[in-house]
Amino acid sequence: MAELDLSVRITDDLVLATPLMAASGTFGFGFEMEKVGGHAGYGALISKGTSVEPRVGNEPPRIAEVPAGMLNAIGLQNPGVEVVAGTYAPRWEEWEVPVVVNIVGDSVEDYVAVVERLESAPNVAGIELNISCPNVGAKGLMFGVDAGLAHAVTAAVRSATARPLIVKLTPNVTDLVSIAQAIVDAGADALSAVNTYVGMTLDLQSGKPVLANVTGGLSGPAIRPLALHAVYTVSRAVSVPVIASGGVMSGDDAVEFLLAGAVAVQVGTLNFLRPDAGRFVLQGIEAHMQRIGVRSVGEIRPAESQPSAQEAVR
Amino acid sequence: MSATATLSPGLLERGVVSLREEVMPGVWKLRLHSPRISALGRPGQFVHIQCAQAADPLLRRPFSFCDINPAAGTYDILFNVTGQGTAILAAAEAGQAFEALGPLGRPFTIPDHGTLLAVAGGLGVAPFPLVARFAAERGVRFRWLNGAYTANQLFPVDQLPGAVEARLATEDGSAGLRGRVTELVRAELQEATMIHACGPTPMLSALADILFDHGGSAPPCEMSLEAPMGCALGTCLGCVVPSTDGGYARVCVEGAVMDWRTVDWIRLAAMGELIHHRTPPSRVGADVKVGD
Repeated sequence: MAELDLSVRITDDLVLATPLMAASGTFGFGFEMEKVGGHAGYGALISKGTSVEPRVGNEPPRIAEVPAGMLNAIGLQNPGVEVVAGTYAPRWEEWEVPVVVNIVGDSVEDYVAVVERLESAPNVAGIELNISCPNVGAKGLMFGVDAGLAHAVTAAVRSATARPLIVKLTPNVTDLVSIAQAIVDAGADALSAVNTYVGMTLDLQSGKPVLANVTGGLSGPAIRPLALHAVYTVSRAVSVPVIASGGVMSGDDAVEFLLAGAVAVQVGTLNFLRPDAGRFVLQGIEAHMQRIGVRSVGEIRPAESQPSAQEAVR
Repeated sequence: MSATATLSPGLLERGVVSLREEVMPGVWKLRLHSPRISALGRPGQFVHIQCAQAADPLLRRPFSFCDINPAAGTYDILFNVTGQGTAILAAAEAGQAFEALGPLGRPFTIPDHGTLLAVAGGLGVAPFPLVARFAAERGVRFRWLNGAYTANQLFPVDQLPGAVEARLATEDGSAGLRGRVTELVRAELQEATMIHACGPTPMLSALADILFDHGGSAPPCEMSLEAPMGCALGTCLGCVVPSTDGGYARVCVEGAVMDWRTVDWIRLAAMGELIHHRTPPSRVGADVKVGD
């Protein structure tokens, strides 16, 4: 069989060699995983959330295992944009895989400041906006739960950079589609769907929350059907590419997200379980393509958008 | 927040169970045939074992090397059943395979002369058979201080390789000193070239207090720490302990063995019982029941 075409296009400036991206917060800034060969299989890496100033993160315990998933409340520990732009980004030069920088902030000004500092940094293939952070100005309300705030922060960042701009949706909202549309209207090039679901777990002996932060973000296969529904819904409502994220554990899981309407798929928690996660998932996608006889990963599309299905509708 | 810490080479290898033995009541030793990991493992390093094939339990489980036989290509781990993962391991049959990532983390520094003082509480005995083996190979005197709640929770001294000088402590007085293992430490400090410690966090904290009291005259001390762990490769930032630089150190990469002065014991104490939510009951019993 001829060689498979695994490439996907997020924007003209962000074309990935494979449809897989390492999800933010599960891959650091790429260095630890490079040492163990963990870059293999990925079309892009998305960095740990980067803020204007360094953040030490939350008190431990920061993670807790729950059925088929895990909760985390790391608290955005990161060395700050100066280190990322000045020290880390130059070191990405020698990597084949492009790096998208995930950015966080407590105000629109924070986000813009991070992006502006990154403008002069080399090897930044794109920006992923994490809008699941509390907005200090809006009294702790997350940017991502309000269409107006989400639009405002996206528009401000859009005007600060010409780089590919991805906005990561939080699923902890009542109307994901209206927020997604507001973000696209503000100029986002693509959407990531979705960030973690808020959850918690209690210790039976102490009666207290296991996480010092009380709540944490739920990830892993436990959220996959929820994330799949989000991708299915959002991808049908917006004109820009949707990048799926939520509990991918195998190539088949990634294929399921592509069939739901995603253009690319993030792999997150699986990186904590196996350092060869990217390669493992990619091999599964390739096996699926060979099984069904398609040569290009772009042919794995929602059933209703496939030519035969369209014919049937007509 | 050290981003420059060195990482041991990551290796994935399926370990095949060759022996399962109940060493103490409720405490299991599992021997895994895993030649590549066994060839590289050092005292104090750990393996991160996938206990389930399915997604539940999801995360791997970290275990210190208890002992290694590189010639046979095997390593041992020591654990009690605290949840789903260890329940699966405790029921493992010979021939069953578990995939492990390792060896990981910083090892203990083995001195090349003098007296090594080993301080172990509860299941904190786990890494010391291998430490004792390395000490014996280098002709280093091995002083063994072991504490537990009651006598049958003490690690059998005859399972430690080499010539071992043991002093024991039990909370209920059923063997050795009635009290905590840390009460044995002060009398030993003068002769110790180096201290290695592993046990519940309150035990390590009490040992840190003693070392702090001794100031510059205290011997160097390395402690093996424990925390709920995610990736074990330094990326998830889940397994942190407060460090004296004001930030956090990752147990998986900056540890599991750390210089005792790296840990900010005051902040760690302030974080209190939350840290110990996963401490198994037998280990809680070994250290927390004092004063009951």
